This record gives sequence, structure tokens and C-alpha cells, in this order.
Amino acid sequence: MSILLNTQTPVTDISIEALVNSEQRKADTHYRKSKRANTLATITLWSAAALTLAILVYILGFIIYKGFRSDNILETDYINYGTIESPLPWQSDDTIMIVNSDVRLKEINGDNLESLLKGKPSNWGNINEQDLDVIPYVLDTAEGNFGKKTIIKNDVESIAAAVENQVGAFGIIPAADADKIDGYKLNVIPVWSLGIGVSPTVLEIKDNKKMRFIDGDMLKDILRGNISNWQEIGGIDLPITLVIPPAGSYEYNAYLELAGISEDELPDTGISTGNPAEYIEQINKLDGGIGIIQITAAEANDMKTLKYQYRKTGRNIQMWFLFEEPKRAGRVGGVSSIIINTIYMVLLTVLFSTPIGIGAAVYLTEYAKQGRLVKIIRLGTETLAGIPSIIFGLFGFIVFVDYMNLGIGLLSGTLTLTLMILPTIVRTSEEAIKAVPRSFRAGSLALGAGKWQTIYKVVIPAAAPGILTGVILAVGRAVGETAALLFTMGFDYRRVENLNTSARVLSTHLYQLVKEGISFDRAFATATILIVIVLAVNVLSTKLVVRKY
Amino acid sequence: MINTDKKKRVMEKAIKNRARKEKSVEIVLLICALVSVISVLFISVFIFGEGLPLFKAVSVGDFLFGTDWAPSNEENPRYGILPFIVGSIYITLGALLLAVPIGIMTAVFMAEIADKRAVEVMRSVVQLLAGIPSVIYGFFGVIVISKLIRETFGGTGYSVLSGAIILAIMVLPTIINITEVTITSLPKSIKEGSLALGGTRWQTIFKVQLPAAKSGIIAGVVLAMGRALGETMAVLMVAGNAPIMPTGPLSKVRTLTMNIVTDMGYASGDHRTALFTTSIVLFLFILILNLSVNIIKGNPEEIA
Repeated sequence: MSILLNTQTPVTDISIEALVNSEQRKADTHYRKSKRANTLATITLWSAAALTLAILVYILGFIIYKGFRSDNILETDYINYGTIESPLPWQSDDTIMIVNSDVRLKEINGDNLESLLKGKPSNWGNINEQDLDVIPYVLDTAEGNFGKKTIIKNDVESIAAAVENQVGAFGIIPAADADKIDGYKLNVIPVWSLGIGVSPTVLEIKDNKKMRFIDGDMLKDILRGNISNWQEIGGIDLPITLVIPPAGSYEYNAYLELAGISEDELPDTGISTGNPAEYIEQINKLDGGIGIIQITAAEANDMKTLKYQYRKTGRNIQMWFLFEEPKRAGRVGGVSSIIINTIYMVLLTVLFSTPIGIGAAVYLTEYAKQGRLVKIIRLGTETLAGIPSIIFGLFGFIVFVDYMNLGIGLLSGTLTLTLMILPTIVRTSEEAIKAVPRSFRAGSLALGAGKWQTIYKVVIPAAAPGILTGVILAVGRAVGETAALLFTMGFDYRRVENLNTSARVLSTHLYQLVKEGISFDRAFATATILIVIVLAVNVLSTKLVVRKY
Repeated sequence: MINTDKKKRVMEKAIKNRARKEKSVEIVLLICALVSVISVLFISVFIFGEGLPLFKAVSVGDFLFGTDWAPSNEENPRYGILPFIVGSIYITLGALLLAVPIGIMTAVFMAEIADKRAVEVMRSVVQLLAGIPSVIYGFFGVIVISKLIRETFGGTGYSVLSGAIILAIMVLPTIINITEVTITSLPKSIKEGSLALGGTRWQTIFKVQLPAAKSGIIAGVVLAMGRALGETMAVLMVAGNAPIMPTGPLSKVRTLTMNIVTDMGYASGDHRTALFTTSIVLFLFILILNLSVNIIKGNPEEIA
């Protein structure tokens, strides 16, 4: 109508047709617009859901991936190049390092080997994060300074036998005697001894630029003569003077191998030298000089070295991590006692909270008459569920630790957790009990059973899967809880001996590892264990809910 | 005659016994049910009992609106927690700003668009998100989000924004769950009426269903707010924990919960009391939020 009124032109057949057409068109555009809006809406909603999914997948995937695979960029003085037969600066002949097969060691650098022989870490922890005593063996003909605990033997076979049998033992034998250790069950470890020596001019600072480190690719390019100026790899504007080690020396062979070239392909730009002393002098003296050199030789000659950066990948969480005791605040060893503490905590919490929770649920569903009391109880449970965990922690700290004098320990922690997870158990148990059909109760009562008998023998067993779901969910929550445990449970990473000993659990351990910056690899491994538990809890709880009446 | 009498007596005794037993069982169960209520009372009494004495030394105004937190200053210790209140509010609001749109959209998706299998997938996604421990969120925040912020905006990466992002992820499940339940429990007639009047799906969802579910959604958001305010570990790890007034999204920040955790380990005297007083403020915030959820939702039985 309004359209008709608004039209100025007289109404004719043609204009009516036009009108119908224009109405049709309007309807079409409207239809198209609303269709577009619909599509847009659908896309928006889909992407929101996809984002939620992506967030979860990313978090879990990232942590689990890093939990199983470690991938770190490291910087050391040493090039990650080692050989089985290696020169030790304090020995005139090449040597081989043999290690007991229980020691997790893939390679070792010269500094570490030297200090192990001196007996100065007396534990493998510093070197490979394994809590084992070091027992060094050397031959009586070996040269060098050894610690008091270093055991001296007079033949290679007895060293090999001792290393095979003694956990934590290792020995140094001459490379010439390599065939004598055949048949013994032990590991032969390559020793890293080389670094990158440079002339002091390389490390000067100009225009805010300073050469800091070299990685494998840069080193290769330099050794092949592909790079001619330090500028190209982040240093100052200074030509590279490549010094080639004396032919036939250990450094010379390493050079060829690191560059991946044969003797004929040595770059023409390289400066060759005849003897070791001259070699070192050349690197030091020439502007922009660089050469591969034994770290000990560099130290002895006050030569500057460049840090070498490399990427170390490998498995992260392994069986030993689960089964070894942690030592030194978790730097060394695994998490076995922490897992055991976590199990104790969960069991105790379930033990305390389940009877109370089920009792409360039974009272609310079977006994209570709707009224003020029930309202108060409901409000109380709801309020308890909403209280932040840190306040539970404070409460546990004042009441259980202080007033009741239980001390910071397992009991205080679990009592605090009990209060925290109680609402979850009450709520799920209540729903489970409510879902039990009336006929179950009527049947039991009709058979002459009392009310409590009916509840105890009929209702609760029928509601058991639902109740169990609640308990499992509560366990999931208890396992991950941290804030409430900081001041109630403590941080002792040894296995708890009684209810009052401070106990570290997985969640607090993860927090400590991150806070103290101890090791991200270990933090990822611990987080992965936690996530696996949470996943298991979720699967279990969804598996159980299937029972319906 | 005597025999029946005896039988009667035995039976009466049995009935009495049973009645007594039933009564004692009921009392035990009542005690179980009262544990929660008693705990709440105890928590309130102890927190207030430990925290209130601070006001003998510091005025309420100085405590709540003081901007200076210097408890270790021996001559003139100051206990102003305004920066922490502001910090908590900043982080919480930031988290809600990010989480509410995504949460509501996801919930609408689950309630209206997804087929049965997609709904099941999303349910487990939400359940898992809710199940991940906060310390893991914190760790993830340290490794990924702080790094992202640091690389994008510079600075340390430990900031209001990092905290808000982590908290947003953590409160998503709360918002999604409650919104979804509210939308699915709306009477069908609302949706059908709109569609019958020619409303498109878009219009029906955004102009009819969401407004109708408003109170439920708001309840969810308020609940999420409570969660965010009370969260400790995750923000502690990513938000920087500097006792200063936050100046912007990239500023380091300390929240009420962080303040309690940080100093509790070593505090003594008035300082320790001030931490309990901080927890009173937090406790009151949470109580008010939870009560308002109850008021907004009305009686939960009615909705179900």
C-alpha cells in the first residue's frame, strides 16, 4: 500500500508490471541479504567453535610434544664433534673412554672428563642428570692429576671388568689397547675436545656489532672458504683469515670432517702451518684469524674462543624419569617419589571426602525435607564450590597447620583438598542418587527393608557409577591443584614417610621447576604426566556416565 | 497368649531398635551434609579473625585506597592494596572481553548448529579445557603467550595482557557450559515463533534466543568473573607480579591472589595480617559475585 501511495506516476498496466518487478527485486535482494547474513552467522559460529577446539589442541599438543621430544638450542665452548679415540691434553697418546652401561651418557666434553677424573663432581648428576656415584678408573701408566677416589689398575682388562660390573664406573684406557675391551658389556663414549679459536680482533665491538657465536652451518662455510668476511655472519667488518691445522694432526682430521671436504679441496685462502705452536700463534696474531683448536690448548695459550651454537634434539620423557628418585630439587633423577606422593595425596583425599560427600548427598536427597535447612546446606555447598583455592590454602594454613598443629605436610594438604573437592562429590552423588528410579526404593521397602538398609544396599549400589564419576572428576581436580597446597603440603621431594612430612606432588613440582627455572625439559615432562592423568580422568568419567535407567 | 505377648514385645523392641538406628544414621548423614556449611563458616571466621586486626594499625581507607605496598619498610610500613584491586579488575575484565564473545558463539554453535557428533566433540573439548590444571596453563603461558607478547609488543612479555589471555582460556568452559545449557533449555516455542514469523536463523539466534537467554548468560559471565578473580597459579606465572599500579595492557601487574601467595612464605606480624586482610577483600568480591549469580539465575530448580 505505502508503495502505491508513494508512486507519483499514474497507475497503468506497465507501471504495475514495473512495480511488481521492483517488489520482486526488493524481495530478491532481501532474500540474498538475509541469506548472506545467515552464511556469515554460520561462519562466525563455526569459527568460534573451531577456535575453542584449536586452543585445546594447541595447548595439549604443544606440551605433550615437548614432553616427549626435547629440542633445545645450546651454546658451548666445544664443537659438537667427538671421536672414540681422542687426544687428552695431559696424556701423550690417544685414549678411549669406557663407561658402565647403566650410565646414560652419549658424549662428554674435555672439561667434564677432566673434572670427573679429579673426582670433583663425585656424582654423575651434573653431567647427565643421573643420581649415581662416579667411580673413575685409570691405568698406572696414565699421566695427569687424579683425585683421591680414582682407582689405579695395572692392566686394561681389570679396568674393563670393573667398569662392566660397577654401576657408575668409567675408565680411561689407551687407544692402542682398544681390542682388549672387546667382549665386555660397556659403552664407549666419544669425547669432545675441540673449540673455535679466534684472534682477539674478531671479538672487538664496532658499530654495536660483536661476534657472539658460530653455528654448524657458519662453521662449515668458513672452513670451506665460502665466507670471507666476519660481517657476513653477524660480526664486524673484518676479513676472515682461515688457519689450517698442521697436516695429519687431530685438528686437521676434524677440520676435514667438519667441512665435509677431502684434502684436495682445502680452500686456497687458508694459511697452512707446519707445527702446532706456530698454528696457535698464527690464529692469535693474524687479523680475523680463526682455527679449530683443542680447548685446553686455547686456555693454556690465552687464546680467545667463540661459542659454538648447536641444536640438541632427543627424547624427553623416558622410563627412567618415572622410576628414578629426584635429587637436588629435581635437577637430577626422575620424579618417582613425587608420583608416589601424588598417589598418597589422591588416595587420602578420596578416603576423606567420599564418605562425607556421599553422606551429604544421601541426606539431601533421601532425608531432608525441603525447607530452610536444605536451602542453607545447598547455599553452603555452592559457596564452598566458589571459594578460590588460594583461600582454601590460607584456611588450611591457619587451621590445620597452625591451630591443629599438624604442620606443613601430607595430612594438612589432603584435609584442605578434601574441603575443596567436597562440593563436586556432593553434587554429582546427589544427581546420581536422584536418578535411581523410585521403584528400586519401593521394591526394597516393600520387602521389609528399613530406610537405611534400602539406601545402603539398593540405592547407593545403583547410583555407584554416577558417584564414581564424581569421585574421578574430583580426583582430576585434586591432582592438578597447586595454590591450596603451597602453604599446606610443602615442597619436600622425598617420599613421604608419615602424615606430617612435607610432600611435593606433581603440580607443585611443576611450579617449582618453572619458578626456579631449573629445566624446561623436565617441566614439560612433568606437565605431560599431569596431562596424561587429566586425560585418563576424563576418559574414565565419560565412560562411566553411560548407565541410564 | 503369653507367646504372642512375647512375640509382640520382641517385635516392638526390634522396631524400636530399628527406629533408633535409623535416627542415628540420619544424624550422621546430617552432620556430613553440614560439613560444607560449617567449612564455609569456619573459613569466614578464620579469614576475618586473622585479617581484621590489621585495621588497628592501618585505616580501612589507607588499606583499600593506598597505592603504596611497602610492608617491609621498618619505620613506616605501608599497606595499600589499590594496585592489586585494580590489577585484579584489569586482568579479569581483559579476560572476559576476550572470552565472552568466543564463549557465547561456541555455545550457540553447540546448541543450534552442530550435529550430534560435533556437539559431543565440543563437550569433551570444553570438559578437557576445564580439567587442565591451572599450573599447566601458567606454564603454557610462560612458554608460549609471554613469548608471543614479548616478540609482538616488546617488553618482558609478563603483563596484564598475558594474564588476561591465559585467564580467558581458563574461563571459556564456564561461559560455554552455562550459555549452552541456558539456550538449550529455552522453550522451543520462542525459536519456533521467530522462525514462523519469517525470522532468519541469524535473526532468531541473535535477536530472539540470545536475548531470551540473557539472564543465564550473565550468570555464566559473573561466575567466570569469580573464577578469574580467584585464579592464582596461572596469573602468578605470567603476569609479572610487580607491586605497582598497572599502567596499560603491557604493564606488569600483581593481583590480590598473587599478593597473598608471594608474601605468605615469609611474612610475619602486621605484614602477615595484611595478607589475610587482602584475602578478606578477595573473599568478599567472590561472595558478592556468587550471590549475584544466585540472584540472577533465580532458583536453579526453576530453570531445570
